[in-house]
Amino acid sequence: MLINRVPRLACRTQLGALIAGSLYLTLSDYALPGLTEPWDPAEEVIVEPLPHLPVIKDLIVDMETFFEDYRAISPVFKPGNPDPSKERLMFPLVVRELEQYTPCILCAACYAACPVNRKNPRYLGPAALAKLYRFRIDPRENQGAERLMTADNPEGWWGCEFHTNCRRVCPKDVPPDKAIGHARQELSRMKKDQNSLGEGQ
Amino acid sequence: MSQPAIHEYDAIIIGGGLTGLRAALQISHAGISCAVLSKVHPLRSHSVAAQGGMNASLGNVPGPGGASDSWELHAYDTVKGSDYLADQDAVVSMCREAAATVFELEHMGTVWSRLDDGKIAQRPFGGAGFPRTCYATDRTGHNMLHTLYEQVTNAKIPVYEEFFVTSLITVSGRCTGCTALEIMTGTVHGFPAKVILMATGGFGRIFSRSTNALINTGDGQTLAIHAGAPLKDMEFVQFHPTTLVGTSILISEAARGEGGILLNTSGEQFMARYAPRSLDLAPRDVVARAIEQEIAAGRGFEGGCVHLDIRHLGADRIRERLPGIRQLAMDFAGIDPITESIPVQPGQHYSMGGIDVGIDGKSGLPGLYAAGECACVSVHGANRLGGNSLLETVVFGRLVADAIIRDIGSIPPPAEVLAEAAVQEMNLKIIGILGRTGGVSLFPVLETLKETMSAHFGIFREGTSMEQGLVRIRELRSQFGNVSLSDKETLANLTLIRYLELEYMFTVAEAVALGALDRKESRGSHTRTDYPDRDDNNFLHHSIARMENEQITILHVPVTLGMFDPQERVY
Ligand SMILES: Cc1cc2nc3c(=O)[nH]c(=O)nc-3n(C[C@H](O)[C@H](O)[C@H](O)COP(=O)(O)OP(=O)(O)OC[C@H]3O[C@@H](n4cnc5c(N)ncnc54)[C@H](O)[C@@H]3O)c2cc1C
Ligand code: SF4
Repeated sequence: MLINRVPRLACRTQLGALIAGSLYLTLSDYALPGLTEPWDPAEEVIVEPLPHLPVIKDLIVDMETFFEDYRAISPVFKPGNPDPSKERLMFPLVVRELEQYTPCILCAACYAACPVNRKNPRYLGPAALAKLYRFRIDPRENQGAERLMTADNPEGWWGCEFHTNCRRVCPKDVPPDKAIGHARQELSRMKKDQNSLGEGQ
Repeated sequence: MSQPAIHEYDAIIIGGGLTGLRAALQISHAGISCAVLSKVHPLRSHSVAAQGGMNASLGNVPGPGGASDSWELHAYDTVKGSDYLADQDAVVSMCREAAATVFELEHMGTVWSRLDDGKIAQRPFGGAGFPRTCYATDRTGHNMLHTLYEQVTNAKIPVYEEFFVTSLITVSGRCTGCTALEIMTGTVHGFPAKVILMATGGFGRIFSRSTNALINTGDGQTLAIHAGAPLKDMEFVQFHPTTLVGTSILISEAARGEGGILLNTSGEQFMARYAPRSLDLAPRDVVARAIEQEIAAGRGFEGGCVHLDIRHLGADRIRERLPGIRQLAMDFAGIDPITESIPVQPGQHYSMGGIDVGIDGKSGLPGLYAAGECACVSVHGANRLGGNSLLETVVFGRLVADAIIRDIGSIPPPAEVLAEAAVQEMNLKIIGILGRTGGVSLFPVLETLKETMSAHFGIFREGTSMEQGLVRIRELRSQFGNVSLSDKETLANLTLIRYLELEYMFTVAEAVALGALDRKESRGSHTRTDYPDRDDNNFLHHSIARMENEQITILHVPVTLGMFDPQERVY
């Protein structure tokens, strides 16, 4: 698609290879990456900006609310131990698990496709939650389930209704719904353990 | 007109790629007020696209015959790869710092691919004697940039996103700030600062077939030379051997590092004829020339390409090590590399030349520093090795920040009025551009410039053709004066941004052309059919491009040699 060559249609295009995640738009009511969709010029396609983000102009949306949610989960590595002189060891199997979540390009397609985000703008949304889970399972951090507590509320893990639109629209095959499911299980288990501990005393 | 928006910081970093973010972290940790300006959201910077990896002699994977790697061997490969044009003191600092820099990123949380023993994995890359390239599958730049962005967000460093830098402010031979257009609102802001660090990346988009982001238009290089800071070695432009045919999307060298081979129409692994020892893992200049020669000799496939075959690696290894490349081939060419060969052709990839700086990042203009791809230290000389650029961004992002921290105490604060005046001047310029009617439209001029560069200053160059190319660039530039834009709004006018970028591109294009004409030899990426040999007697020097009265002239300065004497370069 040569959207950046339509001189009066404003949109963000940078890399042209689905890597940077700045050109996301809605084609016929579905959030899609703007550059790979086969497009039959004879057919009319409705091109719209991503829904429920404020439009600045044409296809350009204001991503600020999306990034606010990103910042809300404290997206920074918090090492469990002081830095060693070389690398911390990590095993390939763990890395493979982590690499399901690291490819996120923060394009907000999942956010736009999520019915919960539409209903409740305060919901953190799939990308931020997937990011938070990425830090939780990083073996180099050792806060355990503590990391998950940041989103232990209806605006976080518990807001998801498992529509799984996020996974379907993600151009990088990130599974936010899977992260949310695991996080909930872990929190439930933790709470159960705490309760039974309380009862035992 | 409303009151100009002025924001004063001690240090302004222009560029939110790996270089800019690494430098910002260092400067901010030292307690110095600083901000990052970027014409796109930092995570959309070109650094995010780097696939293959970053070089460091960790020695986690043994080399041939069980030998172990060292920074000296890394330096040797780099200098040889540069065709002896790199400054060896700079190469030594980079290679020495490399291992610590990979560990530093690891400590900040970057997820690297790992070996079975838990250490960071390393793969072979072109022109390297050891498996030295640390990687994160084929998303290395992505993982690194997200880590640095996380750190910058955590450190609460102000980032002015989608601010397009429009001019540098200079007074009495010193750089004292810049102006920038806030793209989404159309407001011009002034940023008075004691120092400016330029970290604006490369200029690949002056060529028609380029792997670079649309935003890589050489803004920093042009801003610098206009303000009085010379450029260096601009003629050295890297063409990557393997881009996906017809799309210019990069197919990383990692594909050959993992064992991929190049084939012509006879199914021959033709690199055996061009680089008998290194084969498909010879440096990029060598492989790109070989491919072009195969195509010229009629042994290329339809569409002007050769085949890159990775099928023998097997589905598992491809899925694990090269998932992004497989996805790109499927999305953009409808080809699954597990079952089919990938059609590839060379395309512009990297700018070895840039703002002339020393190891501390100081340019020829006091107050202006530069690092990363927009700068030329020079660690890459006439040809960069794959994996050395990511290394350069983070190493020099930090080292140059240290130099700024050292110098900044003795620099007086800049005068705010100068920034106000510069903002007014830029506003008038923009009003003038938007007010123009009739004339020619922008995109044909842009496309013709790119085609001119590819046709006359591509992989193979020749004097008369380049002279014609230079004339064409200048003609186009005079047409550019009549360009008028269809979008006259100030709000989110991206056509205006493309216009301002094109203005920058002309200066860079001319600097490349003049450098290439001046260098009457073949060295590294610069191949002249009329001067096919390297000529150390007359050309073992850097080309310095200076601007006076809008005219660029080329001067020569010696190369810093050291550990390694120039030798014939065979692979
Ligand atoms: C497809 C591809 C793959 C690559 N893979 C590898 C690899 O595997 N290994 C390796 O070592 N190297 C690789 N490279 C090279 C490497 O990625 C780049 O050289 C490096 O990332 C450049 O980083 P940088 O920080 O200098 O600039 P960039 O990341 O390009 O950042 C430039 C910044 O400057 C800003 N900017 C520019 N102009 C302006 C302006 N006028 N106003 C405001 N802001 C501005 C931009 O917004 C951006 O934030 C690859 C390059 C390409 C093209
Ligand atoms: S999870 Fe996928 S869809 Fe959501 S922001 Fe990240 S890359 Fe985009």
